[in-house]
Amino acid sequence: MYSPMLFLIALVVYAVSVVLHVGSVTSKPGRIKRAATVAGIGGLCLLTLAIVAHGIEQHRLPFGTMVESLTFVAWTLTVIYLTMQPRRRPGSESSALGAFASMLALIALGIYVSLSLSPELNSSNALLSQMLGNRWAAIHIVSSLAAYASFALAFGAALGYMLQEKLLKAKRITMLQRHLPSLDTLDGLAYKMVAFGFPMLTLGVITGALWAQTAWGKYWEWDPKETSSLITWLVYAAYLHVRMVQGWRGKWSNRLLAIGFLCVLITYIGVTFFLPGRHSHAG
Amino acid sequence: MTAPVELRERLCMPESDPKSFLDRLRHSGRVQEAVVLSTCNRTEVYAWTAVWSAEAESAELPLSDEEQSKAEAPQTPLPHSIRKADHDIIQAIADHRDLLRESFEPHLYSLAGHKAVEHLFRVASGVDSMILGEAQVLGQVKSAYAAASEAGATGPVLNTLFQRAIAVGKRARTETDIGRGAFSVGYAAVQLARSIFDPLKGRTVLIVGAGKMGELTATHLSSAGVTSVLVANRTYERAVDLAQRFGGSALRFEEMPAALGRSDIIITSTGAGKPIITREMVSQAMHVRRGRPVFFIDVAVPRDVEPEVGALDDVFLYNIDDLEAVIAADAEERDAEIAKVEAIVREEVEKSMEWFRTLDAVPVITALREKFEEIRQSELEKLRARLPNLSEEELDAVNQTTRSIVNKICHQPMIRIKEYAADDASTRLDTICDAFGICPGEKEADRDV
Repeated sequence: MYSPMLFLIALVVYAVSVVLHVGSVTSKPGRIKRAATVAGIGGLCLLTLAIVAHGIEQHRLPFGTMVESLTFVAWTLTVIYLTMQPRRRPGSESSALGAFASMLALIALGIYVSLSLSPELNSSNALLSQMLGNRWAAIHIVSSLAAYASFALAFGAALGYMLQEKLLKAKRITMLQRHLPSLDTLDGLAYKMVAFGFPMLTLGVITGALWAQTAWGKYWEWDPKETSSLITWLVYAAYLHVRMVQGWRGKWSNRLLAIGFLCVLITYIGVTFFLPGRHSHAG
Repeated sequence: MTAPVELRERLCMPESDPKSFLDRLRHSGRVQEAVVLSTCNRTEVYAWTAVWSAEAESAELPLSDEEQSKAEAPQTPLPHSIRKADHDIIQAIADHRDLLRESFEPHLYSLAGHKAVEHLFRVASGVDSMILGEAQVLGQVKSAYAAASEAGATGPVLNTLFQRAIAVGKRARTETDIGRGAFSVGYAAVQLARSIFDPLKGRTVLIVGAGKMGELTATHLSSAGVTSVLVANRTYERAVDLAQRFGGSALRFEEMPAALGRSDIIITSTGAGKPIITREMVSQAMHVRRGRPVFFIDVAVPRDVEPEVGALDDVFLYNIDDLEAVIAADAEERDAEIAKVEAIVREEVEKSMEWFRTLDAVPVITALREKFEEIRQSELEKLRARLPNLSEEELDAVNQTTRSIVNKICHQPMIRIKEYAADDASTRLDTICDAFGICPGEKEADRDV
């Protein structure tokens, strides 16, 4: 059982990476920024190793349970922000993105590590293994979680937008204001994230229906998770429609992203814990 | 500031032509290397004079003469030879500008050695400027050095010193926030625009009114990359005139409200007594813009844009007071950086002073080597006269042996000389000179001293 140890080490490296990323937002580009990227890559490698080891130990998809899925969310967040880094001349926006993404990843990983310590959540169960053996399961889970991760980053960009907007409106030209990326940059970043996340969510919903068909014989049963994911899908569809077709952006499109992320949270976490249904992630 | 503006104007030397002044200065005899740094606020002459004499050790260090500035008299009385060199510099300035030296001499101040190096480094890093941390001065130091170097007025000492000063200036700007933030209204406008738009390139700026301040702000924005410029003014001819300067297009004043929709940045500076851009106008324009933000810069007094405009979504309205507040806040933050810059300056001055001290060793070592080489050569001559039958090979062997003897003898003293020089132990250096009967730097010695 190497994976718990590996997750713990990855967690520590992530904590270091968060500190470095936050530090690099306010400092000039240079050593701190590079160190943050190195820590980010190091953390990602460790996390990948831990997830793979966990999968081998359990003989199944390593992020099939609700709690385990957090590790894949953390992994996706890291991959996204690392691939978004400009190769040359990293600016403040990539630092801000890195700081936000690595912080979210750290929180996800931290929750996983602390919950996985309790044995009943960690127990391997035959039903789960069988469920995850379905051919649609992997695609459904991976694409849904990737969508959640990118929506989380879109929400981060929207938060940055709202904060920058507020500071500019209030004419409070502080350190924070200057280190925040420009409104255009944040708006563009959020858009990119949704442009990636939305197809992922679509894929997740479709493969989920296919999974349901093969496992239970019905595509769609309106269970709470299915319903709320449909609502989430509609909110992001509305955002993209307003943005792409009507050309609207600015304050309101960013408000929409906040609503969308609220839906994501309800779908991902809320439904699982508070509304019973077949998505309650046995195990 | 010790010199009134009229005097600073007269002392100001155009950067394009330092050669005649520098030549004049160096012909006076004592000054070997010189650089003139002349900006609107300061005229400074940096000069290096080499005088080898026991009582004037700091004459080995460069001295500078600075007009304008705080009357920062050196704490210790200047060595005689420096005062002589000062005299030369002042006379050269007087001759060059056709002034009576009495008319400006009281406004000058002079720094020598350590203080002069420190001053140059502080100037280069922007902490000696009226506007703390402004970036221009480093460029001025660079071009002053380049001009002097082109005129052949610099040598090993000022080359090193100015290159170091430029490096210090860069260090201060990269390692501290001394050069950060807004220095002027135009600068603040660009900084804010960058917080909204990215990139600035390709944006449209609309200038309403032909006020000086508006034009200045637009100039900043256009050099920051804003590409398309529209100008609207009550007198159409002035709009055309202004538009031409920016390579933009002029609008009739009635067309202005319609143009709001396609403008990202709007600068207003009319002389109108009441607001000309109303909430109604902007509200309509914003419908066209579909949430794309717009930045109003109202530099007119009284204001041109209704304050209510700022309450609209995606509209950012800054008037002249808001911009001034940004500048003041940034200036405060730069103030907090002074100590860090001063620490860098101190560190670099210390390094440079160490380098200067090792300079003392150079003439002594050269003189010592020359002396021994002379002895060796004359002995070889004598040998050749006494033993004319020596073969080429044998002579070569003797030559080799004597050379290595000289080298071996010189080795230890040379190490010591360098150490003494670095420790600033000039009396010990003198003892060595005395013992070997050498007088380095004789050729350059100021015989008047």
